[in-house]
Amino acid sequence: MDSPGQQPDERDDSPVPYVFPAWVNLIPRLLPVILTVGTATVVFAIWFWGSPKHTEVGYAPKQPVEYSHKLHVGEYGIDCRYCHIAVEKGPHASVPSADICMNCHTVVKYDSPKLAAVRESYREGTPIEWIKVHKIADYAYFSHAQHVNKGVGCVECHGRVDQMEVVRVTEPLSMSWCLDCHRDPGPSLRPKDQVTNMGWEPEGDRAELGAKLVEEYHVNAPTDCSGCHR
Amino acid sequence: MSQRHDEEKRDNELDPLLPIQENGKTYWRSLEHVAGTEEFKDIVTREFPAGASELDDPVTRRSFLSLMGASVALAGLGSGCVSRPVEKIIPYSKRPEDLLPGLPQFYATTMTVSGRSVGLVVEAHDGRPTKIEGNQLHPASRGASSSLEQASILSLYDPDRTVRVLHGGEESTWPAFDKVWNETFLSLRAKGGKGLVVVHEASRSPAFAAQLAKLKQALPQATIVEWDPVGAPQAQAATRLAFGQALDFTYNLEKADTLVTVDADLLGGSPMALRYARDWSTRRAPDAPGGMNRLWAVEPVFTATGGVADHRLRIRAAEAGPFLRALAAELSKRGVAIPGGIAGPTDGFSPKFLQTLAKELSTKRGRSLIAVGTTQPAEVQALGLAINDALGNLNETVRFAPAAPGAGADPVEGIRKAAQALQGGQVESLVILGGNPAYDAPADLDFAAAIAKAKQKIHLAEAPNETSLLADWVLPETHFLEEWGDATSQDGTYSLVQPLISPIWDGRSKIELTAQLAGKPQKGYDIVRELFLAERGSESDWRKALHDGVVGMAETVRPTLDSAAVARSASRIGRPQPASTDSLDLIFLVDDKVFDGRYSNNAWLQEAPAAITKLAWSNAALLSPTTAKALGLDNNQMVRIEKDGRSLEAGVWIQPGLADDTVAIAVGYGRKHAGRVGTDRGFDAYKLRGSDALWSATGVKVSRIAGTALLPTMQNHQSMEGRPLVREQTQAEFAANPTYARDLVKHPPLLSLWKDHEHVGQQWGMSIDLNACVGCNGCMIACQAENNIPVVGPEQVRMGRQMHWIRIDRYFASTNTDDPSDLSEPQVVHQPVGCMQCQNAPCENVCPVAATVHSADGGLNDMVYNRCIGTRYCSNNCPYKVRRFNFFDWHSVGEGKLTDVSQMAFNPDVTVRTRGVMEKCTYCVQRINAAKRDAKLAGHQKVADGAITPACAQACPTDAIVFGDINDPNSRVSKMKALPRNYELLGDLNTKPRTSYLGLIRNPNPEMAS
Repeated sequence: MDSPGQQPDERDDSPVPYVFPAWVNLIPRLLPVILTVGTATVVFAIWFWGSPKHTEVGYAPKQPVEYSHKLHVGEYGIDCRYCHIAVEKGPHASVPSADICMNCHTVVKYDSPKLAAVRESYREGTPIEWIKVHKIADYAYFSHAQHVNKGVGCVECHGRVDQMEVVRVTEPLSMSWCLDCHRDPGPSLRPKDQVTNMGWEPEGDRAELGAKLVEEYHVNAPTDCSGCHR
Repeated sequence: MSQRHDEEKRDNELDPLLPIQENGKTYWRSLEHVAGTEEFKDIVTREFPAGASELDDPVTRRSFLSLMGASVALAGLGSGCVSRPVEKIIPYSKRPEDLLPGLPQFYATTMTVSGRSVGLVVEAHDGRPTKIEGNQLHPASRGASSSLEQASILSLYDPDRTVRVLHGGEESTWPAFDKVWNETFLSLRAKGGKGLVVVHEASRSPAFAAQLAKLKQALPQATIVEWDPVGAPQAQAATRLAFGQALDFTYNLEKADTLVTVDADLLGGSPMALRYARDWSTRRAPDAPGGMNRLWAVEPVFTATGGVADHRLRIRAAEAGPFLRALAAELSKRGVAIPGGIAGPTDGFSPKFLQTLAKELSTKRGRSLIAVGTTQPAEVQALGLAINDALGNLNETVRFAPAAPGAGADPVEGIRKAAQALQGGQVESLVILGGNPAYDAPADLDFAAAIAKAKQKIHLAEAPNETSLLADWVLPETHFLEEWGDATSQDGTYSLVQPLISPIWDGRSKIELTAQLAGKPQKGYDIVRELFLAERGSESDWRKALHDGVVGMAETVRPTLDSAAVARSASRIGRPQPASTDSLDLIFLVDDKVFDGRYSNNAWLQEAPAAITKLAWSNAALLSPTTAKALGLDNNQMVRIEKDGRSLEAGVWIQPGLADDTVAIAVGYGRKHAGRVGTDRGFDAYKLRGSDALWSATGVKVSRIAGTALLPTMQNHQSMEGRPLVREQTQAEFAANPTYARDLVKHPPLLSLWKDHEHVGQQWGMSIDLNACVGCNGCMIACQAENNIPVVGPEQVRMGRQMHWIRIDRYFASTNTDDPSDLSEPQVVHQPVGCMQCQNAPCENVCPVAATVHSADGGLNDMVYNRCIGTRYCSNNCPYKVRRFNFFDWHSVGEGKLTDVSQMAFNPDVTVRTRGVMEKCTYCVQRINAAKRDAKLAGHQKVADGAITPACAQACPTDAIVFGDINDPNSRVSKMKALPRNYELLGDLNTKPRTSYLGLIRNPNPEMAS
């Protein structure tokens, strides 16, 4: 009805074929790019910020008693094993019971308000409920004794606890992080008598010393699944 | 009867529906297998039986969907957005000296159930017991434990236990009871104890006997009786008859070349079964010192002993006495000096059996044994002792010790006296110490009604039961793992009971309550210790006893037979009236799972398959195939059993090997108040049990009624597609062809697509001796306890979803060469099957997410639960059918549902699995890892042979399961695998399994074959 080249009249009843603005034409060409880039970004974001390196490292919960490792270990030089008594014998390092604290604190600062909870625990027999800081999944089993007795220093996994007012997580403790050491334990080893020495530095080449210690201590770190998963 | 393995027969093997023709015999899994029913075909040809992946039960679907809905809703919250949940570490306030967190402690104790005392060593984690093992030092256990001991851990954490003192159904306290009892005691004492009736469970505890003596002294006129529904103290009555004194006796099976059991389940139900099974198995290898023994079983019901017997004769229960008299007659014909008057007519018993047996026995004087079941009357047992005496067996294979205090009372006299006293209406106070007489007392006494007549009714109960409902005062009793006590086992060994946890609920032990009843309240520890120091030793002996758990054995007694007395009583043993389909025999069985009913609420035991029938969660009226056919009955049909005006409706199960014209039913089921797991399971056979016939009755009528009983059975599950699974020979055949088992299956060289794994270091393997397995289920329950294996419930069992990591396949073998489908005289073979840890595992190849991989260090097939996405392809591909899938979260629904208390039973060293995850036997990898850790900490690079024992191997009384390093040619397991009768199950599939089997060797008398 309309001759070609003419603009349609406003009073004309013929249908209007296109109501979309012109830029809409770009969508089918941009969509795959947007989706790909968007998905990749989301995946990367989750992989990067959702990984234990970001979700675990830095966790430093407030504890019921403001115990400072920096003071007791860093300044006074108490060895890790004085309080964490099971670390050389069993799977858990064991958080000390109140009677270990009271070994000193019946005399030292015996009426400090900061230690009220400890004194009460000792007196009443009720335990102090510490917040667990370093955690791995329930289906993975870890044994402190196996590591400490083979020359893995406390600092390798727990960081410079002797410089922490509040204990915080410094390593991701993820399976890939564990495997990095298990596949090549040498660089994480130190002489057995230096295990609790947080500030220890090797004299020569760390890798060379590590290789020697692997031989000497018969280190055979499991890389099979059943080594930790049972 | 040849050992050839015909090529034609290979076709049979590939058809799972046909019987397995092997070793010259025909093997059947079940009667459905024989009949080739549609149901059987369905089960066998599908990996998971029909319905396994579908939800049929609307309730289950609803709960399933609600669970799914909840988990989906929480998924968003739980995954990334919210920081991880706060977990706490709770140390001690003052740490006990030797307790380090994470390291288990072990203490020795003893478990006593109705005259069966077994020494145990219990493992505790963080102050709570988690695993029970046998005590190597205890002669009745020698390190083994049965399913009852293994499952008692779950009973400790039973959520339905008595939590606090109840008075008239209301919560009360011990001080309130103490006050009331003090008044009662004073009023009773004024009358000299008249008006007090005490009913107590069977006990072998000297400390308990001492407290009862104190009670008797304080209240001399009190009626104190023992009631044990399944105790069989006729043994002491028999010795009184035969020797003039009450004695305990035990058998030395190691010395016996020929063993005859007459209605005796020595290797299964006997109180000394663990020891007997061990001793029997030492003579079972073809190269055993002294030669292989031979077991002749004469019994009405198929027992574990009958299953492994070389020869078996079916008789009626009442024919045991006449059989022994016939045997005596045959023996005297062969020059054995049988006292006059004992021999009897020989008609009615297979002449070949009698004569061959008699001939053999006459050549084995002093090296044979005739064991008569303790459920037989005293005269019959005395007869057995007399024949043993004539054969010179007394003090050789039969050992006597003084009877435990209180043993030997007539089983029914006591409870009858109590019932009469109660009916008289003059009883002021009734005290029931443990047990459940309202449920299990003889039906004719109507004990429940009698209880109601007492003015004050006190029940000391570990868990409230039918009797507690009738009591005014329900007092919480401690579990044996919570109490101090002692015990004497049947061979006279004295051992201590020491607690591993202080009473979880507000309980007191029997010893403590009885001392209180006697007016002299004392703590259990003090009672036991004072008694020990007074009668048995010094302070240092006490400390040693606490450590070992065991103090030496009682002295041996060498009695002389009073032949005249035995002859007099033997002459009274006559033939029973003939049975027919209108007048059947009825036999009451002690269930090998719930025992007398006390373990009804123990889910592990309920779900365990009964040894021969493989029934779970229920009992059944067992009938032989011939009798069932004559009565027109089939499996799962309901019948009414009637005797003396009492009746019971029960489901039928056809049991090959049962005597004809007999119906057998296990007691302990059909309970109405057993807790959340045990109520309304099975059929209550106690209803039929009168005081005149506690073990077997005659003149019983069985008639079909409407209804179907859906009896859950496991016997067709995980069938292995008709391949040669069990390889057996006779002793003679083995001597001629020792490598039959190993070389049976001829196949071309086995090739593989993949390079074989390197096997450096220690590589783990296992050997299972079919010759030794009696099918006791000890390994199954031990595995369940050690590995936190869930319970699925009867409906799920019927769908084939039971979760046991190790199962015992039971095959019936037909001995009828003319008609192989005739299962009236079958033999039985038990084959435990757990994960084979194949070197060329079919399951590893098909997992899409590498959740099951092979470990280089040890050669295990690792199952990684957190990786599994539930494809179930691995289970599909496994030819041994050893993989188990968690179709639901068994810990949150159904019979296995956890509570705060019941989850304390978990072993913390093993992951608890949830829905959607595959699991299987791991060779107890937690134990392997623990042993490796210990070895490394001690400076050794290798684990010594014998340092690692998987739970199944540790429980096994016959040492049928051997585990160790196959790379070490000197290890026990390597030596087993080097034996000529060693073979791999389905080895021709090139799976290279690490578990291999030792072929079964039977030792039949050559004259029986002719």
